[in-house]
This record gives sequence, structure tokens and C-alpha cells, in this order.
Amino acid sequence: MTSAKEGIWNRMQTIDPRILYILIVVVIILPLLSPLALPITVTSSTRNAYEKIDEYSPPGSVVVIAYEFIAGNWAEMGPIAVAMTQHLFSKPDIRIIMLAMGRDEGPILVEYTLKYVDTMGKVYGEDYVNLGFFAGAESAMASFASDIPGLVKTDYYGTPIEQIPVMSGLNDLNDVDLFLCLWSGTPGWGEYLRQWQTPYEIAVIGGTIGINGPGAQPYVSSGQLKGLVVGLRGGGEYEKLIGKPGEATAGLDAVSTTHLLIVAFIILGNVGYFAGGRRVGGEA
Amino acid sequence: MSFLKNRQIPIGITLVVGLVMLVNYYFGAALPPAKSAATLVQNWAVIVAAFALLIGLINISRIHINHLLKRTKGQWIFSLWLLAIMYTMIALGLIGTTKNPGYQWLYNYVFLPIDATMYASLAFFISSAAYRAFRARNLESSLLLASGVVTMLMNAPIGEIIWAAFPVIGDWIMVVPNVATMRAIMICIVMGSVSLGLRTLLVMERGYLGREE
Repeated sequence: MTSAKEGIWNRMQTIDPRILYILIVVVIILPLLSPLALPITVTSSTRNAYEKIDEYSPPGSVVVIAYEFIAGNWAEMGPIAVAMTQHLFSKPDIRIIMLAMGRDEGPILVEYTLKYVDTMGKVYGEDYVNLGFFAGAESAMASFASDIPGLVKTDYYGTPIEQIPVMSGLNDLNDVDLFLCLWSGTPGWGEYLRQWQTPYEIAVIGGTIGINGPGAQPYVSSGQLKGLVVGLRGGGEYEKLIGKPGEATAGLDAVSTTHLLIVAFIILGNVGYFAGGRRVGGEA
Repeated sequence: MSFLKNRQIPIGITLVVGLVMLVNYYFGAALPPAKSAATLVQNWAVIVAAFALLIGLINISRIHINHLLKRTKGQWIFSLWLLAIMYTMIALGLIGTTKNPGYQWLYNYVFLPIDATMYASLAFFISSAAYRAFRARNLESSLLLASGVVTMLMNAPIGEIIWAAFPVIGDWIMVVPNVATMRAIMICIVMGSVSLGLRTLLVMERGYLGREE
């Protein structure tokens, strides 16, 4: 027969998940309704990405942005996409080419992103273009890299590429100065690394979801990724850098409260585990 | 049509295409014909991949029409829903492309929030799993627990308010132990990939051809 004390320790280790779920909903909703406005410190990784965009996109440069994420990742990827695209649109006299080769939703998400971006007087077709989706993933990447006019015949809206000034003079990836890879899974950075970065040594800056961050970190250390913005935190930091608070800034308070709650539950579980004689749920 | 079942044809195509791509990758700059051949093959691959999307559409339609016709218990209603939504999206996309307001409305206000909700529901499972799994049972699990907590607090602004060292330690975990481990994993993956590539080119690996009858 277990004593009342042992019962408490056991209960601390086996709290009904539904209680945790309800508390998570509460700690997410409350800061969204009443923001805590916790200060956001910009980490070196995000600052580095921001500075590298400045460095590799001087006037006259050509920048390609790949939107390789899905609608489901919008909460995390959206703020990164909006903030980094906004940063590029603030650059004078650069050409911006947006496309997708791994995710067929990419071109729609380009449009969705542009809803939140101030184009700052840039004209579609002259300063930027949405090339749409190219099926084939890695094959399409390789094809684009070696022969842009051979692969790209029209833009997303069906306008022949010869009628789009922003595409003039672009023959292969050697004509591109900077590549912004926004990805959430496969196909994504791994494929662009093999087909674009390694053979053409193009400068790449990445933006990805939190779960991909640790896997992409070795490429930052090796210099294959010049910079990396990770997760909602990275998005919030980038919004701060461009001086345009958005969805990530609003969501980071909820991240703080949720992470705190999970840590509190982990501590609770461990206190119960040790105080209860290292037994889980009454079993040795 | 027995020649279509002949496995020598796809094996031959794999061998030729694989060699063309390999030669181009290493000697493309010095061998312009290899570069041209590789570009041609890559453009073909894009066209083939576009056709594969159509095959996917036909296949998924066939499976779910079958469920519908058989009234598969617990399934047919979902099959009906899937087919209705899929063909509605296709029809709206074909009428005026994806710029069609109906298509845009369905994507922005139905698909996007539903997809985001599915992804967001992971928060519940991950938090529940963290609570149950992060127990300091031994040295290894204690290290996992410590790095997990530090990384969680590093990624939340409140972490540095609690303790200024959280971002510093978290950054160190990401840049030193994480990078070292990920590199080891990557090297293993690459060695495996090279081995698989060589086996495929040498016709020792035939898994991609499907089951032999």
C-alpha cells in the first residue's frame, strides 16, 4: 500500500496530459491578448545573416529567393520570409527573383509574403519577378543553375520571359550574386547545397524552422551558409533589425510562456522522480 | 509489350544518365559536350517530374474512387471529401490560374489555417513528450535534460531575463557539441549515399526498379 506522500510524488510524474494541454492553450492565448513586450535581444547568428545580406546585395546585384516551405509552416517561416524579403526590397537597384523548386506551394506563398511587404516603389517585372514552381526538385535546381533560359520560359502569370526585363542577361547561376534559401524540409537546403552552392560557390543565406536549425549549423560553421535565421525567435530578431515588428514579435511572448510552462512541468516530474525514490508511476 | 518488362532498359538508362551527370559534375568545365548532355538530361528530368505529378493525381483518384465504389467502412466519406476538395481546387486553378479569387480564398482561408493548425498541434505532443521523457535517470539522460532545458530557454526571450548566461550556454551547445555530432552523422550519410550510388551504377542495387516478378 502506498502512503499519501508516495502518492503525491507519483502524481507529480504522471499528470494527465490533458491538464498540460489546457495550460498550454492558456499560456499561448494570454500573452497574445495581453502582450508582455519582453525585450528581444538579437543573436549573433541573425545579425550575421542581416549583415551578409547587406554585404552581398550592393546596387546592381541579382538575388534569388527560394520559398521552399509549406502553408503549415507559415507561423514559423512567414515572419522570416516577410522580414528577409522586406530587407531585400529596401535595397536600391537590385533585381529580385522569387521561385520554388521543391514545394509547389512556393509561388502562392510568395504572393502571400508580398502582401506583408512594402515593395518600396519596386515594379513587378522590372525589379522583381515570381517565376513560379518548377517540378523536379534537385533536377530543376541543376537545370536552372546551368541554363536559366533553357528552363524558364514564362513567369508565374504566363508572361514570356523575354518580356520580363528583370530576367534579361541571366544565363546561369554565375550571374546571380546572392541566394536566399527559405526552407522547412526536403527538398530544401540540402539539395541547393549540392546543386548550387558547392558547384557554383554562390553566397547563400538561410532561413528555416527551429527543428532544422541544429542540422544546418555545421554549414554555417563551414561558411557554406553565410548566415542563418532560425525559427520564430530568428524571425522576431530580424523584424527588430529591419525596424518592422510583425507576427514573430507578437508570438515570442507566447513562446516564452510556453517554454516556461514546459520547463516547470519537467522540474515537477523530476522532483517527483527523485523524492519518490526514483520510481516512475509507483514502479521501481 | 514484353519489352517494357525488360529490366535491362531502365538499368541502361540509369547507367547512361548516372555517368553523364557524374562526368559533368567533375569534368564539365573541361568537357563542353558533357555539360551540354547533362543540361539536356536535367531539362528532361524536369519534364518527366511534371508528368509524375499527373500520375500522382491519377493514382490518388483511382485509390479513392475505388473506396467510394466499394463504400469502404470508415473511409468512403473521407475519400469523397478528398476528391471533392481536390477537384474543386484543380477546377478553380484551371479557370484563371491560381490567381482565381476562389482559389486564393480556399488557399488563404481554408488550406493555410488548417495546415498551420495541424503543424501547431505538435506543440501539445512535444510538450507532453518532454514532460515524460526528460527525467534525470542517468548521466546521458541528465545531459539530454540539461541541454534541452537550456536550448528551450535560449530560444525564448524570457530565458535571458531569468539568467543572462542561457543564450551563451545555448549558443555553445549549438555551435560546439551539436556541430560536432551533426558532422559525424552527415559524414556517415554521405558515405552511405556514395556507396548506394556506386551500387546503383554497378547494377548491384535494383530496389528503385520495384519488385521482381
